[in-house]
Amino acid sequence: MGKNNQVPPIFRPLKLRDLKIPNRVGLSPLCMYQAREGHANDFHTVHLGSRAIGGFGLVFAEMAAVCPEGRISTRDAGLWLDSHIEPWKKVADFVHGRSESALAIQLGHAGRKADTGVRWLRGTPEGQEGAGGFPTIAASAIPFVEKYKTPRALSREDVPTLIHKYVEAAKRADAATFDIIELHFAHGYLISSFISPLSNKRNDEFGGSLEARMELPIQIFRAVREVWPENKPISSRISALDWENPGNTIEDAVEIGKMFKAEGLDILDVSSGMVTHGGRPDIEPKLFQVPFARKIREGANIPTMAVGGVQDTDAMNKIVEEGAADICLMGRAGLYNPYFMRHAARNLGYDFSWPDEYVSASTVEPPVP
Amino acid sequence: MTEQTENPALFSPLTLRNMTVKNRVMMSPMCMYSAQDLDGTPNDFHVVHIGSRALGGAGLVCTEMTQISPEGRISLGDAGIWDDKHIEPWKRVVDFVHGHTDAKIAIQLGHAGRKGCDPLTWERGTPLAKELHWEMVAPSAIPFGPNSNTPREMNQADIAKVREDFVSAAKRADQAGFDMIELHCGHGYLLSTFISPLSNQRTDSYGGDIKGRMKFPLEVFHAVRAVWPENKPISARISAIDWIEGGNEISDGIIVAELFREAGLDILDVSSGNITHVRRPDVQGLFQTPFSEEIKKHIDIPTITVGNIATATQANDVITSGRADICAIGKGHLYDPFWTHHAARALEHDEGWPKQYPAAKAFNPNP
Repeated sequence: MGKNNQVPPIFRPLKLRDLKIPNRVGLSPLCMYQAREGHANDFHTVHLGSRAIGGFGLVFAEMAAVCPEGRISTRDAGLWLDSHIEPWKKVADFVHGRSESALAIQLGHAGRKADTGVRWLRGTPEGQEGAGGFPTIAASAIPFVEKYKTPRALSREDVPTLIHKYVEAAKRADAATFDIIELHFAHGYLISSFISPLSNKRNDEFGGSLEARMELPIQIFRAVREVWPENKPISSRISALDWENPGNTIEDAVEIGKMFKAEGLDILDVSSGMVTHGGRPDIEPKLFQVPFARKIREGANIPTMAVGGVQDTDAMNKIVEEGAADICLMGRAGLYNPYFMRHAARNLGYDFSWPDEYVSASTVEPPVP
Repeated sequence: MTEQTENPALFSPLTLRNMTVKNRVMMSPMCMYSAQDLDGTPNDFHVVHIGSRALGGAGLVCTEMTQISPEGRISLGDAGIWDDKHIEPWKRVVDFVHGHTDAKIAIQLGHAGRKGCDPLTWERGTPLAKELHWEMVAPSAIPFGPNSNTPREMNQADIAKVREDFVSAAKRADQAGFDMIELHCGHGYLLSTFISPLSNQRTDSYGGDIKGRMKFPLEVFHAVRAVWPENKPISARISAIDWIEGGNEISDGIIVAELFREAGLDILDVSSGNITHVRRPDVQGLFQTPFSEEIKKHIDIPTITVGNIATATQANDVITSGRADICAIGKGHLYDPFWTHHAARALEHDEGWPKQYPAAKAFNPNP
């Protein structure tokens, strides 16, 4: 209980379908570039497992590629092989066995941003490490930026195969016992390139109006929803706006929210931009995307997750209390402090019990360190 | 000023034999009672527990007290290295630390002696079922406390077996890839009970004055040193004082340090007390650092200090003033696995973050 005998908003559970998420703060999906041929390993167990013990109610594994050509680098995590199931299940067993946290994974395809190599090696002599030399695909044959290769426009014949890959990846995510899958439809990756008019110049049924640009994402969602267990929720991350004219605007995002809501999406993870090169402000003010989450939540009547510069307990309590979003995702702050939620509980005077092994941590008086 | 001299002392490297630790923070050994199937085998929990603290920036992480024999356990949940089957699971922990971080990893080897047959710490309310008890051994047949079983006094064969168990454990620790061994000679566990006159009332060469009482710990040290690679250091944790009338005092702690230094010990981990059920006084602050300081005043040996070190400034001051060479952080690491990264930030020191976490390096928690 909090100081006023109330559970602080961020420590209130949330139910999505049959899934109980124990609190409102999640670790945002973050690329770690530690997989080998898409397989998770001890790094992921430690990285994600320590955040689960650290109290994040929702722990997101990173974007897992639905096919090898959908990877940013050869070090990306994946779900395109059956052999990916077992290592992910090890991570899930740890999270489920040692914490109350829900575990999520993003299904993605990097599209025209694929094959660009490991982030921290870009622009270095080892920059080629992790660049696999495979061709890329996108909504239209327009490169993300000059130095990236020009993608091939996805053909209509490719669509069923692509959908099948999402479906197979979703089945593997279920076999690995993930609690939520999130379809990564943001940040200029393959499906995002369909949604934005800046990257989608098609004149078939997958291009043109917003409805048409949403045709492929909706088809993928329907197919995945079909195989994903009824009692488990699905999320989707979108870029709420493109930060570039004449790209998508927040009004478009509200429409996207309504379409997903009508299809039965459980929660929308609201990011923005990165659809084009430079398509996001360099300086990201604290909480700069929260207003988008709120607009969509109110306009489309769908639960949302807020992400971007979320790092402050008071601000998160306010976001949840005021209904700007249902879940707050922490990226950088979650990397900086795996036990953020335990420390937040301490600061709020909320009794968040420690695992047996760590009981003596409850006697520690901040400041630490 | 060079970059080197601008670093806070806490973030200066330290070399012991061929092992260089990047900073002066160690995760203190802490019992986790989480071994797989209660047979001593470390598992995912240990990988995450130790691995996340290595990612958290500590220059040296130490395993919990890891038992050299099943009868040397405190509880059934203790981690062990008494069987070859333990090597591979420990190697997994070591490989994580070496593969994903630039921390070093030590293993604390121990034998609980008369402090065995305990339940898991969170089941303390219920004594361990009688049928699960094992025969405890100690230098003398004196129980730890009024509610403890009386141990059997060790005979020559017992002494030889324990020494051999330490040696076998050390060989396995090397196979698992550990960088350092710490012999647990403190806190009332087996080797500690030899050192304290309260628990050692032997009349043979293993008892008597402090030199006699140190005979067995030194035999173990020499035997382990003989099989532990020349280029890898060894530490020993001691109880510098017993906190009990008639027990060891700091003058004894200084002799213990001297004997270990002469024997070739590389670093002394200076704790205190817990020799009998009479607990050491609940003292606030850095209550054990004066013992490390006192030992260093008399004996030229690197030390680790441990006990209630909470803040970055406290730890840095300890190193700056030369009161110890390494600060072991226990509870602070349970509370915050990234204690060291956060300490660096508090000291405005720009130290390395794991390459996977570049965004954390750039992160400002108080914008």
